[in-house]
Amino acid sequence: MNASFNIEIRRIRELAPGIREFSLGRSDGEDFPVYSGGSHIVLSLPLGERQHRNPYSLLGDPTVRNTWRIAVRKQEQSRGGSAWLHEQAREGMRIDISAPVNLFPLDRLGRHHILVAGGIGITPILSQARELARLGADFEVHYAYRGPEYGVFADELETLAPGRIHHYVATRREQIEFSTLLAGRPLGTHFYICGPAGMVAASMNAGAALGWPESHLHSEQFLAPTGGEPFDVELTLSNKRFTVPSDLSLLEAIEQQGVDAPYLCRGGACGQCETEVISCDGELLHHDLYLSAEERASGKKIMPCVSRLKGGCMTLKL
Amino acid sequence: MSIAFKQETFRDDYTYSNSPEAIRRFPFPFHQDEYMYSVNMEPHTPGAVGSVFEHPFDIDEHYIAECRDRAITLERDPGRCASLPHMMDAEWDTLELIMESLSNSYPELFTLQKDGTRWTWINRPLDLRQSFTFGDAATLPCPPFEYITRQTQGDFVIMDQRENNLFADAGMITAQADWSLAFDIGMSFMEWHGPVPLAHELGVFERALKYLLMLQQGRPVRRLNWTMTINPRLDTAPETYPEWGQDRACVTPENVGEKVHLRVELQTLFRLPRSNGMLFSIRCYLASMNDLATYPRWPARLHRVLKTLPNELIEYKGITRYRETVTEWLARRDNGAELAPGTQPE
Amino acid sequence: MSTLAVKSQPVYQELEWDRSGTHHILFVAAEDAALAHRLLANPPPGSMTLIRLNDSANPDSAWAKQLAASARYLEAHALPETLDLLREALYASRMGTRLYLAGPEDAIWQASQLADSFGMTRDEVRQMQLGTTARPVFCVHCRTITRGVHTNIVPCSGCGRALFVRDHFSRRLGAYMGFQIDAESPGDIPAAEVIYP
Repeated sequence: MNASFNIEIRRIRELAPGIREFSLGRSDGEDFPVYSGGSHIVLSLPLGERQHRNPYSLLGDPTVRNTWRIAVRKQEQSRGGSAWLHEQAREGMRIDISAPVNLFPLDRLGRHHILVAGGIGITPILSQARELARLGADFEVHYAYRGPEYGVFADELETLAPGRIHHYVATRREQIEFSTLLAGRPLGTHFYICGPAGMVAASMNAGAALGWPESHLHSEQFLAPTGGEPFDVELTLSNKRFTVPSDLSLLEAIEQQGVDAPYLCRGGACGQCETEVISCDGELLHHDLYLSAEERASGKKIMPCVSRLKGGCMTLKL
Repeated sequence: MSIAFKQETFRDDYTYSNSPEAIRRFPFPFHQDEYMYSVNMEPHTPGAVGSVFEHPFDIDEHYIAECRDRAITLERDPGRCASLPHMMDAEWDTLELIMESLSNSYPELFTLQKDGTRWTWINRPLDLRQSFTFGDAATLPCPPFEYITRQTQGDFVIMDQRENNLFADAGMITAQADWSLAFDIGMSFMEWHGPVPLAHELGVFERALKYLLMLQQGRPVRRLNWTMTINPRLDTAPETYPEWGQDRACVTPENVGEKVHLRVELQTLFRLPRSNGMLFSIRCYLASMNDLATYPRWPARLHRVLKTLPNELIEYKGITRYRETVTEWLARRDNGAELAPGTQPE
Repeated sequence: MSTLAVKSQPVYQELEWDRSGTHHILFVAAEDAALAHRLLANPPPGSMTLIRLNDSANPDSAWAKQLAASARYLEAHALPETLDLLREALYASRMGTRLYLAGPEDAIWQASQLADSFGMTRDEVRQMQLGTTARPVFCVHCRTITRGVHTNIVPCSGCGRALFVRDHFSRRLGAYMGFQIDAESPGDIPAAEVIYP
């Protein structure tokens, strides 16, 4: 359903153990559109018989139209997506990708911007830093990684904003103290973070303790769909009945049935795939970041990209 | 395809008129005999050849005259084009989108040549040729948003997306149905639509906002909106209300056919790439009651819509003073036979 | 032109502390002893600054009297000077600050504009109308703002047209919209009524 491009993998670079960078070009030789800092695309990866869709942030220069760049860390718990990109993907291969979507945009009325990246979370932060540099905005970047060899975009960042990049290397026992980083900041400061869940939570807690309002605290956190027990699903509008196996998300299983379900982030954040639950026999396992507590409690809505059912059968209006 | 551009006016002597082809493609908005607000948005995908939906931005026989009318309005009131300082990226986004689109849709009218950031824009109907550096506003005779929207039919608003909301932070508004850019600029989506009656209670704007926040690049959407205007006047702004307000009192059974116009807005929304903003284009089409009567379905349908329209909407759309006169005129063209659903002329 | 009630009109809630903030600036441009007592008797954690427009002859302001000794107190005798005090306070403020504005709409929306200029967002600022309900009115024809309007129809201080005062409100301008009441039938101007005392 999404506007998409067929692309060719032009170049693969091993940046660090378990981290690969992919340069992508359009198969038809045309230019890509421009995108805004913080945007991501969704890759459709050919895993056996099914298409596996994974979101990745665009990290390059948004104004470079012939090449898009992404970086992929091999996930320990990979259900196939990042493993395929690390083990199967070759230069010259062609795959489909979506148009860019930005669920992590900069606030253009901000007077100062603090960007924080943890590990591979550097990818959207890079394109945001580029945008701020282009706009001549006031900003600083804090980049935390495991060991010196994992600071894979350190040089690129330094070139972009000399003197405004702060490094935190875990093997040197350096880590970001968010209660210090966020203290005493002038009004109009905005904070952006992409990184591991624990790091994002720590920063949000520190911000809240210092009185930062939600509108100034921005985070991007894609949840990988977790597998789980199989369960049965009935779709009333498309008249389908099937079982969601343990290694597929509900959304993926719906797509495998040939049903065109809406989606954008595939990570429980954007709300696009919100689906009405007509009835359900079992416990809804909500893993998304979108539904309110009341909506969850009502048992009438589910985000099929990350959420599942424990046991029994559910009927969806789809 | 070539377009025979008209010499005509939208003020003073009002020489505006529609050719038979223009009447036939008029985007009549009423599918059914009753009208109520809804989130009537659909993908803005190419429609039938010759229809107003054929291209992302429709250019028709009124192009030159509309650009001229806009220039007159801006000359009298430069505040009709305004843009808040953080909107410069969105201005360039708009210029790029419209230039690329018009030169693709109408290659015999518009040409865009690119050599890196060195661009040349050729507008044949208005006899303009401009070389400039993309991204450098100093190389254009006026800011990029004003530059390109002076050469495009329809009003434009650019919305900035932040705080999970949309803010009307820039606009080129010279053909509006009675709302003021100078007053409304900077408003949130709900505040800006504040004066619209009934729709808030129906939850229309809440759903529309939720939908638009997720609008994707390359997947524009459209909807139709409508009102009525006395005389083929584009500039029905609150600013100039003293100039056109009296027209509403001068409708008589004898002049209904030529004076009263159905005003339809083709509203399209595009996600903008570098700014993550949203371009809202409001393209206005005017057809007199005589024009509509070319196809018997249309006056009959409009008659039924006006007869059943809630009073709140009659008042909001400024129809109160002449509702009865126009409804009687239309009633004589409605034999009461059942009309099949749809907006088609025949 | 429509005269119906509209959704852009601010709806004011009874002022409450936002206890998630760590510094609180209370800007008051009218007296309300009960409100002062309720707010100041139960202050939020963190530091506090009170900025008061003291334009009455009454030096015994409930606001000043109730304020904790640890709080900072600033006052001025006219609105422009009081706004200057607010500007200085915002300049020195840090993230975590919450701004509370209580007074006539003219004062609290001028103060809001200041907050906007410092990059404060809507979740950091609360407004409550207090004292006169007189409206600032923006003339859509000549773009002059006429202040202290008590009536539904008012002559524009810029162009002299008889303006009808709509409920449509612009936060950016801090004013309601006014348009010529007799545009459709010149000379037909109803008698003005006091509705914003």
